[in-house]
Amino acid sequence: MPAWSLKLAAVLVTGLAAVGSAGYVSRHVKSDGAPLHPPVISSAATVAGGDGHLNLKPSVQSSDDQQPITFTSVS
Amino acid sequence: MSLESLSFPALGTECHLFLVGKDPKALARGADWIRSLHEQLTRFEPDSELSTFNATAGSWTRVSPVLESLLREALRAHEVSHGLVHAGVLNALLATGYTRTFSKGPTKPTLQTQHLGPTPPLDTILEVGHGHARVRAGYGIDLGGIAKGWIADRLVEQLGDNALVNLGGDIFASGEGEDGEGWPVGFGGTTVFLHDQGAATSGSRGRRWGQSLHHLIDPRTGRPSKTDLEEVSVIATSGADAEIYAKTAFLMGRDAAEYFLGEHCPGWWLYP
Repeated sequence: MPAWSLKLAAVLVTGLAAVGSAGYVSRHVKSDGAPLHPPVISSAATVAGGDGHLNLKPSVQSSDDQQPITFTSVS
Repeated sequence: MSLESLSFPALGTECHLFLVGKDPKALARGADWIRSLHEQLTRFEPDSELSTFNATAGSWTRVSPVLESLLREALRAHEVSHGLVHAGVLNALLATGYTRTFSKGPTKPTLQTQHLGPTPPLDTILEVGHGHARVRAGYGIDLGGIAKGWIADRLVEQLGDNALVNLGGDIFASGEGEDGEGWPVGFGGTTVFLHDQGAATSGSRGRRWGQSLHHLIDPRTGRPSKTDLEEVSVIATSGADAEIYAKTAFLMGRDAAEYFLGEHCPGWWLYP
């Protein structure tokens, strides 16, 4: 088998792999609206109040309407 | 079920006890216990157990079970906080002028003349055995940064399964509160409901005097901390942990605090 044919085959295989990969990626772009896409939620809700920042994870219940019985503060 | 409460001054601050569905006499017994701990653990009275312990620095000294437990808690706090919550910064506190109870005001600072520098790691200056302990000569222990949360946890245990203890902002709550939704506690401008959780606040806005002097010493410098935060509140699984995490985050500064608290706490408030 002539050497030039081996070189041509190698070039063709490389080129086909590159073109195929590009085609696959372009057909599988991430879609935020895809039905099976898992919901992405932040690990903590962040609220800026005045100059402060409040972060509460979902396990902490809070209310702006309920009067506190006591409060934490600098002593 | 009725809500019972009791408020009184102790530990250099205001204390508030709450209890649901139990004999209110338990609150009075709890208040007596806190006052007795205050007499035992204050560094502002020369005959307290803590002052006696500090006065014998360099020697092994007998300590009560309570003081032994708190000294062990101080070592745990030091480890958990990566060395930032440090009970061995008494010399620096004294040098800032925090030599007597805060209500009497600070005395003249001596920071400029003492050049204290970094405080050695706590586990190199404090040893705790069974019934005895030793602090290295030239150093002293201040439990102000860890005692209130630890005491709140233990007092709630004594009060029962539906109680809240607030010792100057260091809180632990057990059970579901009066309405069964959790204990409503003011936190970062809103109300959160604590269920078997603690909360605490650390900051420099409360005890501040002179030119940028306050009581939160950074053991890396031996001076009042300089951070981009003025106040941190946290929720944690116990009052002791909340107190440790709040102070650690305050000393770390905002960027590191966000990461640290995200790893350890279900809720936090940073100011500014």
